[in-house]
Amino acid sequence: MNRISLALLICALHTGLVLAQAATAPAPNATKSQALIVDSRDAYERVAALKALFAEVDAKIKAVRGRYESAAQPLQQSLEALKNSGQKPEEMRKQKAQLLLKLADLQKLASLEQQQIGRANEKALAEFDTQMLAIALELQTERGAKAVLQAQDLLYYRADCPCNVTEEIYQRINARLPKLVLKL
Amino acid sequence: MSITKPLNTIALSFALMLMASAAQASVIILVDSVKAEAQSVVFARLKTEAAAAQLKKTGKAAPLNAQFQEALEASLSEWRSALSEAVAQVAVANKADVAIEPSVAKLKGLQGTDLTAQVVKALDAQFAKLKFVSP
Repeated sequence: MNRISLALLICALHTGLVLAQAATAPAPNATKSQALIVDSRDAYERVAALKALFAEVDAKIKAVRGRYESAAQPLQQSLEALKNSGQKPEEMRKQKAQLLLKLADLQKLASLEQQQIGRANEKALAEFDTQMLAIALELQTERGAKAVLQAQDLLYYRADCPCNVTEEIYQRINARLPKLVLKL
Repeated sequence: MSITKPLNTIALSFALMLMASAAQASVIILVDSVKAEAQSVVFARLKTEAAAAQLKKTGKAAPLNAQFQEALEASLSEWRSALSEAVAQVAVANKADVAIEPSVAKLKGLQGTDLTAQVVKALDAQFAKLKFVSP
């Protein structure tokens, strides 16, 4: 291929690209502006660290509930047995009060443990949010965008818009934050 | 030389196009949902119909009592629930990437063309026959 043919080929390609751009150009009554979109509504499924954290929190809550139920069951059985024990009413009231007190203590302990898990979960989520924000700002700078918008703040967005950086954010966060630690 | 110069120009043009596509300016339109309700002819008509229906039943047009207000809200909700679909249609028709409330745009320092009137026009056409159902 000589240089003239090459130049003509490039010219044709160039014209094609210009025409393609014109065909996909926005209508005149829409304004161009720089914004990136993040749709993190499925982050619990897409971010491995979050998914693992969610599973860990769930398992710990279930374990607390299991421990409470195991400890409470004999006390509840004793309460039931007390009804048919044939003891004096005064003695029955005393024993019932003691059992109810023990049950309340167990419940309080379980509740405290659940609160601790909740607080640790919030801290881990805050770490995730910090990383997400840092990556979003990083992408904003890289792409020269004015802002990063969350999908839930939008009335509409085109899912296949190149401005949608959700996938890239997930990739980066999965690479940088492989695990979220639940610090109890 | 006569070939090299245009080739350089074309190469530069290519580079600029690639840079532009890397930066990808998103096309933003603005839709003000509160303003949309205020501009809607259907909204205004339904409110008038509700007042007239109450006047007929109770002898008083305004303010609407709880029963008539609830019936009015039920009629308006059909229009309201179709808003997001209408916004999407207007956005697609205008080859927009994003539609946001003007308040969000202002907060984020973004600019866009306000197409609230187009959304209202589409919704009013869709619900031209919507009537207030008296309780």
